[in-house]
Amino acid sequence: MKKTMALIRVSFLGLLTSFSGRRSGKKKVSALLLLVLVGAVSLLLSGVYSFAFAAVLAPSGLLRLLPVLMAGIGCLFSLLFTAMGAAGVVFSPRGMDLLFSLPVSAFSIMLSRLMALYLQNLFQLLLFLLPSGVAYFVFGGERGVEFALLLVVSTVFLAFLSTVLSALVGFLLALVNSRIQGKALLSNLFYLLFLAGVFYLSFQINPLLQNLMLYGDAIEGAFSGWLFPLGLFSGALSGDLGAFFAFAAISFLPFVGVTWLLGRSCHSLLTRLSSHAARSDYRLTALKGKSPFLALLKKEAGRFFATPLYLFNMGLGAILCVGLCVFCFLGRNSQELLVLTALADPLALAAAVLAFPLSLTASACVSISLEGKYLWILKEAPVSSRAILSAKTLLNSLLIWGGGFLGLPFLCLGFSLSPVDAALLMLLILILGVFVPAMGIAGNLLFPKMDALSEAVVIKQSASSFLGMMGGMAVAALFVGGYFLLGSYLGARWYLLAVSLLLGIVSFLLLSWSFRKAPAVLQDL
Amino acid sequence: MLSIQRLCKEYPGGKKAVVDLSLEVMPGEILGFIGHNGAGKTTTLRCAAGILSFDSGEITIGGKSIKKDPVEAKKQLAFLPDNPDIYEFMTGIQFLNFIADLYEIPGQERKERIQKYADAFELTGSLGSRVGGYSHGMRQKLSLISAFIRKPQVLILDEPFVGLDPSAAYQMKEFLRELCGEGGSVFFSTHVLEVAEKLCDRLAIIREGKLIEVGRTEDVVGNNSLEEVFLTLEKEGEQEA
Repeated sequence: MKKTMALIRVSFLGLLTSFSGRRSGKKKVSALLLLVLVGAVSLLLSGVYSFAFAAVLAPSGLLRLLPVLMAGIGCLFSLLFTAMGAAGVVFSPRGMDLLFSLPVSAFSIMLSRLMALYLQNLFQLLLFLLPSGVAYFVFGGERGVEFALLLVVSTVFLAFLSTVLSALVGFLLALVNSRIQGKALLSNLFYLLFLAGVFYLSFQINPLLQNLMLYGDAIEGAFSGWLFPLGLFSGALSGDLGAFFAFAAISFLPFVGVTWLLGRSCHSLLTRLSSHAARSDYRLTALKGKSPFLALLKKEAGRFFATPLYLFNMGLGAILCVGLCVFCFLGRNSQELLVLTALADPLALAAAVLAFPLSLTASACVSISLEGKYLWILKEAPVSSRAILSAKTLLNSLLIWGGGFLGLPFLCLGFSLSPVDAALLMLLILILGVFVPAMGIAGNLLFPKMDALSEAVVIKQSASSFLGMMGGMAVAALFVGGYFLLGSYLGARWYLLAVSLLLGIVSFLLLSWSFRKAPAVLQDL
Repeated sequence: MLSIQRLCKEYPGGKKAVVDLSLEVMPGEILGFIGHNGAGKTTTLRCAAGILSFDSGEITIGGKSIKKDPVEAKKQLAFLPDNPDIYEFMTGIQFLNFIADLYEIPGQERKERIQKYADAFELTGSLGSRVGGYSHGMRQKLSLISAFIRKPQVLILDEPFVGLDPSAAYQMKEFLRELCGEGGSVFFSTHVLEVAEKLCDRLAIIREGKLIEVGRTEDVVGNNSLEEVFLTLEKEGEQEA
């Protein structure tokens, strides 16, 4: 038991330190502030959904469904955020040699890794469910303190359930990855299918919100059927002790069972992941030379497209952008879009459609951290730090420009925009293609994470990845908010031009700072 | 060729890794760098390769300062760390091409060089496989090939014999001599004293960041073995402390 606790402690520490790049006190505080920022964004997101659901449910007397619905959505979000990380961290063969050589059982090793995943899930679910509790009370929910206590305790058990879900999907991802190792195209297609499935489920939330009144009975019916865990969760919150213990049992026991099963099979899976077959029939043919800068750019692109986790976390925005633009074109006569264009200027709407997903295309924000133990190759090479950073930012720019310019014609047709509006949107895409990488690279210079055991830790859990993803979204949200304040005075065209110019100036400042600081920072890493 | 003058390096926390160290590696010379664990060998090598910053002193490669003119200095240099981690998403040939691009080696020439060294290290057949599937020894060989194809003026190696099979170790020694025959310089650290004694023209011994002995191998060793000389110097150091 002592050994298991020691392993769990190490896994927790590994998870916590993954947020801090360096060990100095100042950086630790900064990393903590970032965690608070991430928490605040999650609370905001959950708060918006909770109050929107509550406003629909309360008048029809279905308010009791609110925490349960939010629990379901919370589990879905946890799956999205932790399953790919589980594939890369829990089932990563890195660092396992030492663990397997220790006199501890495979069950203890797997338990320690799953407990770290559990902690992450618990943190996310608490942030997701606390606002629903507040909304529940604001809209007249009953049994004050008792309900709040039951909500917290039930969430502790709910996190076991969502951990089981993340672990199983993560296991499946790792298993498939091990079978199609080295075949980047197949791996990318598989991850694309997985994400498409998760996003399809996510996109069902808004229709659910609109038709909640109609689906109320069906949802309650499902609680006694295939959604019975959520039914028990609902019963537990209503104070039914039997339901509470049943829910605790169906959450905790599967967790123990899955840990035991994975403990039994993890050895063979991890062995398969760490053993690769090197072919020995290569014949050298003619080789072509490229410039050093093109070689650096090709290396960045190679890593990006050969690593599904990197591609689908940091490049997802570009894919989403094209998808949204095509959606706007195909649904140009739909009622929703017609209502939207009647409420706001089509140019402003089109700008928002571009800005939000493109700000999520942030490959540069982890590109320095991903060098990790390979950084010596670049430090030893006869290339300047400016060239290294430029290659990293240019790849990010190309991804943004690619996604933006591919989607722009659909967007212009969908919103019937004039050539002047199209030109302004082109300017916005160009500027975003500089601003997002500039912000990402500056963030990564401030919060480098060079000692991560796997790429998953850098991409899913590092401070710079949060800063890159959330920072871009926050800036986009800031300018949308600014439009509601200033748009009526300036008009959409002048506002967009002003925003583009402002982003251009900030990008220039960020890049200047990064290029000035990079030699010293890279030398210290 | 490689000149280190009054090098000082202190790590955060106050540990002095290298103290006022000066030495030179001349063209056509192999200099062996010996010292116990934590003596400051790797720090010195990494500073010389421009990987690590240093507090004071000057390091030049072919007359170019590694601090003031790093890009030009590194064009004449190849460095091999003790545990060479190589991009796992690349195949062996992609990595060699990447390095050849960074050093602007023309296409035909790079093919000839890769062929020569990959054949010698028996790695040609595996160059199409991802580095992630390579064993430690194969990675070591790939790094060595990537260093030799640059035809560096200065080759810096940190524990190059670790992980190499006897045949690869023999080949490496042959290529080191060949490089020196063409006017290049080799500066390497090792714990294998027999190899150092047989391979090196000169030896430098470091203890607690300070150079305690440097000279021609036969002068340093005298009538004893290098092992005896090294242990005697270590003992003297402990007594002084």
